[in-house]
Amino acid sequence: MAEAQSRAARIPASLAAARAERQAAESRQAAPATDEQLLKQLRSGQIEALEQIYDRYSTLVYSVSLRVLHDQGLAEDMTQEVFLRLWRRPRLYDPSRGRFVSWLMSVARNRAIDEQRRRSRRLREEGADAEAINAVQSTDRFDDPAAVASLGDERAAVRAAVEQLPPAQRQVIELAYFAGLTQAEIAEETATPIGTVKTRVRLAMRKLRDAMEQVRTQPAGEAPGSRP
Amino acid sequence: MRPEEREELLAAYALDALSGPEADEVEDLIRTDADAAGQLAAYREIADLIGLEAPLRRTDPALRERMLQAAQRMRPPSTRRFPVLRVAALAAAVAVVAVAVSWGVRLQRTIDTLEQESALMAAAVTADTQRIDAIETERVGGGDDAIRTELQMAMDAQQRIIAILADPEVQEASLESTTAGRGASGRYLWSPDLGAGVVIARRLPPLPIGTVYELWLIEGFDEVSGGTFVPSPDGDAQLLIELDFEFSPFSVAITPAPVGGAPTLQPPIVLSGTVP
Repeated sequence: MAEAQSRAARIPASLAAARAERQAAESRQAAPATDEQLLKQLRSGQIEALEQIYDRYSTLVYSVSLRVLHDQGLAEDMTQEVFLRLWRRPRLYDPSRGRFVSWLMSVARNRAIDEQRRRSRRLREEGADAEAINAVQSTDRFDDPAAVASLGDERAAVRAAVEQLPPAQRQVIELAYFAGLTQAEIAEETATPIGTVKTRVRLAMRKLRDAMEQVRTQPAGEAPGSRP
Repeated sequence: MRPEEREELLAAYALDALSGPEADEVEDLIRTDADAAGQLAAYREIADLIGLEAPLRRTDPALRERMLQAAQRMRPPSTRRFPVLRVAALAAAVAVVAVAVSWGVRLQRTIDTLEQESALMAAAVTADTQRIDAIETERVGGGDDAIRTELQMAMDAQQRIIAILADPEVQEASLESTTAGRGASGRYLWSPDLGAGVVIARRLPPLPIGTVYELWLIEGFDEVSGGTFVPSPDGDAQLLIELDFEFSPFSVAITPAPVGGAPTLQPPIVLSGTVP
């Protein structure tokens, strides 16, 4: 140990500085590219950037699409479509206007809802029963463990916040977001008075807002709701 | 309206869970009430995150391969800069034109037909050219460079607009006002050959403090912001759209937006139209 320290001490200062610089450069190189960097590369036609963006967000896009559509094939088609559109037209997303992940989720969700509505119309025209048309409520709320690692703490916070909602409030939020139902449609779907649905939406959104504000202001590592 | 009712409307609107008259009510509210607009923005931020709640499922590795193969078969995205729209430049240009008006040059004028508009603009360009020459002759100081540049931009923009109007293949649509548009009107002209278009909006409703208007260009499910702008005191605006990106905005929409623009096209739409 003493010998090692002695050897280190004999390294010329300039060499030590060069080594530190190289290590810092290697460290910088190893850091994953930010979304903004990848999108810049995407705009210059680098398909490697598309690969990295896909690897980063395909799970999320696919999961949102699957949650809306309840059909693996359609959800895969939707996922492919979302990323191909991004490839063809990367400038549809403007970084100065908000976070990429929010934009991507919104694109995936809106496209999936459109597809679901189209499918529902078609089923109605074909005389399908209401159960088939409204097959929107997922019973499986568990993650595929291998898919979870790719997303950060924010998702855990959102999930925790939604989990803490009373079931009836969570239901209205999920029916609005994932099934694209209006409050009136939710009232009909759940046989609940419209006034009750409105109150539930308001309370749920307020709780989610408060929970996310709490997450943003508390030190890293503390889960929402973990305080007494 | 009770605070609870107001919050109910805003929260549901952020979730896209309102329809019909209630949505109109919110659109009216946020157009005139900056606090409500701020509250809605906060709720939208939450709504945008709800997708993160979806149970995660791994994608089939074969899907990655299929997507990448399809991407490689496609033309790579344009590597050129994407001047979505020269709204900002034109807004500056229009401001300069307003100065020109005080000099007796009338560049903005209500017109009845495209031919009239073309002729007027041609005359305006000629007048602008003369003005620029006059400025060049009379003032040689460095401070005039900015004025010259701006006037030149105004002139260039007007010339491009004339080219669009003169294009025999130009496609034209009337812009329809929504309830939130309160009688606004307008026209949209798109020249596929030039890859450029013009939006002329009239009598846009006054904006609440801290907001601007934003132009959205839409092709199918794709939408891209054309930039923000502030209309004249009468609510008029003339916006030049120039694209060097493969995009055919068959539809346009104008919405109120925060300064700096909205992340996505968000209601209320005040004017919209689609070319045939």
